Amino acid sequence: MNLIHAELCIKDGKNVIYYNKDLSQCYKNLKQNFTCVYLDEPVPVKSRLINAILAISKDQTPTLSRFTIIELIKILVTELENRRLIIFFNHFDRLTPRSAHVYQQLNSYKNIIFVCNFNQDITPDLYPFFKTFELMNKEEYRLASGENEINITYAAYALISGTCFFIYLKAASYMLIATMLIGGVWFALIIYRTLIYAGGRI
Amino acid sequence: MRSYTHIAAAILFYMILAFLLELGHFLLGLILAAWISVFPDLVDRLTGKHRGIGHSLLWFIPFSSLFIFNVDIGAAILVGFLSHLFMDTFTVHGCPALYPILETNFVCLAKKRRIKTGTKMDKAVFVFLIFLIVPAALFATGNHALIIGDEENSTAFATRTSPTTSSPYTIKNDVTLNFRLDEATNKNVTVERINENMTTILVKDMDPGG
Repeated sequence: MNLIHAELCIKDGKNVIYYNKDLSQCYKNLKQNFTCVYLDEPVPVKSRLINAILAISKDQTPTLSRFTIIELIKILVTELENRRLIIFFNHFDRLTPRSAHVYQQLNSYKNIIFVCNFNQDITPDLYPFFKTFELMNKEEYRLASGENEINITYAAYALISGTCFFIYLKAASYMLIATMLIGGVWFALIIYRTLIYAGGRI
Repeated sequence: MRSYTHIAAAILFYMILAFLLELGHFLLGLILAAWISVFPDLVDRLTGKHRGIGHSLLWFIPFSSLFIFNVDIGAAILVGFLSHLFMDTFTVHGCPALYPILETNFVCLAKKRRIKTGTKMDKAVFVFLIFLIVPAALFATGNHALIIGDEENSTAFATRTSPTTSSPYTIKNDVTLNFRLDEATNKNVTVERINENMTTILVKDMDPGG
């Protein structure tokens, strides 16, 4: 984990996101310098907001669940005053459109920064929020997501099958031509079919 | 993939090509194909970027120019090189075949089924290739009779060796005999013309002694 780069991004007021990394190490390092809240899961958003308020508030008020989400956001911002709050949560990909909207509202305050991770593909609903993040391990994500690759599986299957067809024709030269051709085509098709079965569809 | 897997793949592909096209210089071609199959990794080790310029199809141009000097050697080197690129497409990260024009990796199979270098899967591919090399070697060296039987050699053809005369009866009397010699014993063939309408052909096994 590139913690120095992450800290620089946070100081610049940018949100930080990791692909397939454990945030606990990052949390341990940053909580020494910043006010941090670690939320294991981003949803349900209301209870997560209550957790965040309880973590930063001096008064432990047990009646927060009576408030609406909008009111909880206002309480959180009021409690923060001018302090910078870093909210950690895992599984960014599990955000629902509604919960993402709430977190985006929080993101509109300059003193609230998010540090997240994700393990699966991001749905299009989350892209507007995702774009506000700086991805720390871009190369790792690029390799894992396969966004920069061309899959030539079927061409390779066809090449292997074609080669097998010619090998069969050559090896079976003592047979009658018709049998050879039909057998060769059948053999190549069997090879192609087997490769699809063994190699799997893409 | 490890170098030994690449070498095995290059040997197999060269044997197949040698069998199909009946290439000469078989042993030399085999050695060249095996050596050139590790060439991309050697180049990348020198340049410091793995799966870089060494894995580019740009090498196709100088290698294919070897065809001018010798077709067999050119084919061996080209097969050795292309087999490396082909096998690398089955690895997790694929092969950047169009590097440096395009850094896109060419891959085969779904991500979960691709081969990780140095794993048991890599070794399994190597063993599988060795199993394929054995019959390929028999075919490429002309010893395929061990597998498919010697049926070609057990058929004999007997045709008239004397020149055809310009007689009007030439077509009528032109006989072609085709024997299957399953018993692998010599035959004594006697053709006797009884009269204008009848000809007798006698086929007898010859005694081993004479």
